[in-house]
Amino acid sequence: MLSQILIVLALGSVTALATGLGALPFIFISNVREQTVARLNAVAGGLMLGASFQLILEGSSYGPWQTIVGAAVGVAVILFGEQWLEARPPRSARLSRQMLLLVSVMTLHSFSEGIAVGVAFGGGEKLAGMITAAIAVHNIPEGLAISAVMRPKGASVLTCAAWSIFSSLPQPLMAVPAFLFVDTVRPLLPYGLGFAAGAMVFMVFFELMPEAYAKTSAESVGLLVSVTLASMILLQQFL
Amino acid sequence: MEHTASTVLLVMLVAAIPTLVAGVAFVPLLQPRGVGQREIAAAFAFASGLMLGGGYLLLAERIASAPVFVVLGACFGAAYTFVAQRFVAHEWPIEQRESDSIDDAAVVNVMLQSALHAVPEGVAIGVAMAVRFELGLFVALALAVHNVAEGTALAAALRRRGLSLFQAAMMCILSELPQPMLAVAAFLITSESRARLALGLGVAAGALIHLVLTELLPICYRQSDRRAVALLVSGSTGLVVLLKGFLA
Repeated sequence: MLSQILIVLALGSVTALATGLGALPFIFISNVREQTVARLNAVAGGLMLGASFQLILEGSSYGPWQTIVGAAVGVAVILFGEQWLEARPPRSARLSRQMLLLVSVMTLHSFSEGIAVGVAFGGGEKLAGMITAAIAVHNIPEGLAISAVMRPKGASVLTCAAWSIFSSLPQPLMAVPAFLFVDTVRPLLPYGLGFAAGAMVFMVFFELMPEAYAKTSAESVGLLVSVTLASMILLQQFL
Repeated sequence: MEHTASTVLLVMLVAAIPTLVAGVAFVPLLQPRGVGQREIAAAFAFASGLMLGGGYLLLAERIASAPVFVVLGACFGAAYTFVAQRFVAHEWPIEQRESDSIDDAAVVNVMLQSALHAVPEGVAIGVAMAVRFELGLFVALALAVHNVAEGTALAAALRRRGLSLFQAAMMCILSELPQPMLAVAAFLITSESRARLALGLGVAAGALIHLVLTELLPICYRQSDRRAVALLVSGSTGLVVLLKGFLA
């Protein structure tokens, strides 16, 4: 049993570390103009939309109504979180309001993914390797999304990688208890998946898209979001 | 669905729903205070979410079995919208103020724009029907919502040009007529061949998603505040993807 727990923890950590890989492309992107920021916002938006659609589909396979409730709570949390953050200007200039919100959203959504990993492990052991690989690969674009927003605002590549990994830390932490108490946790899963999707989709249309449209042409936003969304769908189909 | 005389008729009937809805889209204009730009923008935002979610479902339908065809189709679809946007000027009646004058050229332009949108929208209904009746019905209903927004905007412009309600309604139907026509054509072409169906699904999804992202959402953000837009789009998008879970 203990060795199994260690395996879940180790594999969960691998998926968390994979998120940091999303920061790597930014080693090569040095000059960041306003238009580039807008384009990266569009890329992040497409990636997050693709991820959320997948989460909703997965959630609704456990329980559609619970997923709806979870998603509504997710939207509400971001809406009120945003108002709360707006009322309190951040003390340090290094983390802007938008960065804070994005990192919080991605971290919160990792909780549900961690639970998903744990529950899946509890369901069938043989699938362990495949699930880990799937989650790890799918974490990379999430790290990319975080870095795409943070890097243009002056964060270093290392900082981007660190926050990306941080946002996935709940995965190993949640996977172990979810694995241990799989029967208790399973009914909560659709709420969690719905919550994560609601929060991400709302963040995309509330923060990322308006900023993208404001600073670059609608054509390039359209192109970037469609291409990233389609790549996410492709990725999901082959994992 | 297979194609037989009765299924073709069914496709025609379902694809006629959004077109007929466009014919009654003038109804909100009858209110004494009229329809504001923000209200039309809200309808567009809701429709955008439905179309985005619908595009996702169409893309995801065959991407595992025929990724090349689907992606190729999506490129065609997006390219179609791109070219169509170059062909007619980007002018939407809801973005004009009451005091702006509307000439015949502007009206023709708006109708042409609706008709050009209606082409891939019709294809979407047809290919969705070829996959499954429920998917086709859903796409038709999503487009009906979109037609309410488009029809109301068009009818408002036509009314200001001095057309009667009946004439405005006819014009709205006329500009959406490519929907049922192309739905039937797309159904006939794609229902017999897996490769053509995958290609058609890609075309429809690419065009719908590109249309939403390059035309509808920018209008929404300009005409309404981002909180309302985000709530409507997330709500309707989520609804679509969930619906897929219910149907499965």
